[in-house]
Amino acid sequence: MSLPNENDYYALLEVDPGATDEDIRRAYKRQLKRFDPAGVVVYGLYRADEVQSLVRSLREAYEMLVDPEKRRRYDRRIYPEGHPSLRRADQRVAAAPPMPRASLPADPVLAAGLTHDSPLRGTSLTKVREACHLSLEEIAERTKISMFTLRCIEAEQFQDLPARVYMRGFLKQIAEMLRIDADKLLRDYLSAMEEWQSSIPQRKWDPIPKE
Amino acid sequence: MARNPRSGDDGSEPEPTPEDTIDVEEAEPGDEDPEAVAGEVPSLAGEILWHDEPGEKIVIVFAGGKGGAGRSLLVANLGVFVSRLGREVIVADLDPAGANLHTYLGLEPILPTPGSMLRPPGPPRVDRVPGMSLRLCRPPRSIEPGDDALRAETLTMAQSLEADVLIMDLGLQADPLTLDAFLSAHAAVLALVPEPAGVERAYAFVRAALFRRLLHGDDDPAVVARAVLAADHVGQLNSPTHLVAALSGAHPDAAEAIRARVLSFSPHILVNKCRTRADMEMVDGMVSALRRRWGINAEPLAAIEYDDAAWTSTRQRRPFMLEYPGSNLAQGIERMARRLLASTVRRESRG
Repeated sequence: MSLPNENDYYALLEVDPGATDEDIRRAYKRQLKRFDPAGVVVYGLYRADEVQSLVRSLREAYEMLVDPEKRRRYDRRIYPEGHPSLRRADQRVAAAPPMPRASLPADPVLAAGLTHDSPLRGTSLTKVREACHLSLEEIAERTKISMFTLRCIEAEQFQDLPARVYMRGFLKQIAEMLRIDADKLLRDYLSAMEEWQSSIPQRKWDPIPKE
Repeated sequence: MARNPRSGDDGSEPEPTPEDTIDVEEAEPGDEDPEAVAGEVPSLAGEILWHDEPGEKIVIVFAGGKGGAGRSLLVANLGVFVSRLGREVIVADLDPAGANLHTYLGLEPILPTPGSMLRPPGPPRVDRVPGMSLRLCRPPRSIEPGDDALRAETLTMAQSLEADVLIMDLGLQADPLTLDAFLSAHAAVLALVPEPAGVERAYAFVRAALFRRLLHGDDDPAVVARAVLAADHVGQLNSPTHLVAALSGAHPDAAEAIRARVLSFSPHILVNKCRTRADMEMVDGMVSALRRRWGINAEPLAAIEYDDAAWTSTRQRRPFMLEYPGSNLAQGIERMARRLLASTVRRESRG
């Protein structure tokens, strides 16, 4: 046991060095809430400027640890000989990002058994992703889009998807990762979404059916 | 785990050897009205770890925070709970601001007369709560602010009484007598209410206790640390972590001693009268904040829900644990009691 080390990002967020991205995100949220400068927990213990500097350190720790590349470099720096609980994390981070680049097919759309004319929507996205040998987890880790949203995008569960403006960003990121035409994906997917949306209000405002 | 099963098959009476655990069914319910205790038995189910050092009393103290944190109620009912386990318990009232444990235990107050105020106070009073293995030790009259002699005398009396457990309400001030009692207890509890003033007072008390532990006395580490702090004119050394770092160069032994004192200081944090989820989460938040700010390992003892029944039972002047054994508050107190007793065992096994 030792006194807390202000430079240890894991200790700052109070997470284990083997923590997953999700653990880190949750821990960061929890600490931000706890050390809210206007909150009661810090009252009488920290000066206002001290809380602000703590919150800055928390953000710094979060930004470092949530980025797989930065996190790997940081881990190597603070645990050069490898932390016992770090090995899991190393395997996890090492296994995910570098591989797909090498194995990405020249034309993912053709490799997925589609033509360039076929619309890029939910099921075709799944095919392309599989042709690229990418899992949803890998996409989630790289793009920071939640697993739930990614699943909904592929399953075309439009009712569970966020607004159009967010969808544009998500789809662009996915297109970039799968190396497909982003404009075409946006056009195809968003028009499918609009089609679904236009079918909603009529149903919603239907008067009570008469017997 | 009980080492002393009382089978009775061989017809011999079992030896009254100390036990590691208490089997609840064996707890003597006392000889009062059986209906009064009937409702309480289920809430005592399960075994409790027991710190068993022959001849040594377990000392548990409650201190600090702010008035109205519910210290007296917690102390009185913890006493009732432990005595229900068949142990001999002393509760001691050392709160100069509001000495009223007797109210929560259903005992008579000591009423002064004009004449008694003119004479020197007699010895501290010790009264048994009828039907229970529980005694209250209190000053013979209310403690005037600054009357340390009367408090010290009551404290000495409480410590000298034979019992298994001594539970003390120290009040909320942070004077040397209180701090020393707080620092030397087997388990020291800081009770507070989840509001800014309560939290601030609680931190102020922990700060005073920590500083006394680190810096008070004539031993080398304290003397060296005081000298180093006195030389720090800009207030750079604003946490024990910084103090230890500053000492480690020229005074490695003092640095190590101070570090050990910081790490072995672990007050229990209890937040009482919680009404929201955020209130309940404050215990962990404060423990985390204390670790970051001063490097101390506080224990998250309990978050106890606000309970209207407490108000009613106080008005009836009956121990809460007996009146409302099934209430949230009684269950919260029971969880608190189990953790406290377990922590005294852990502390012992750590050596």
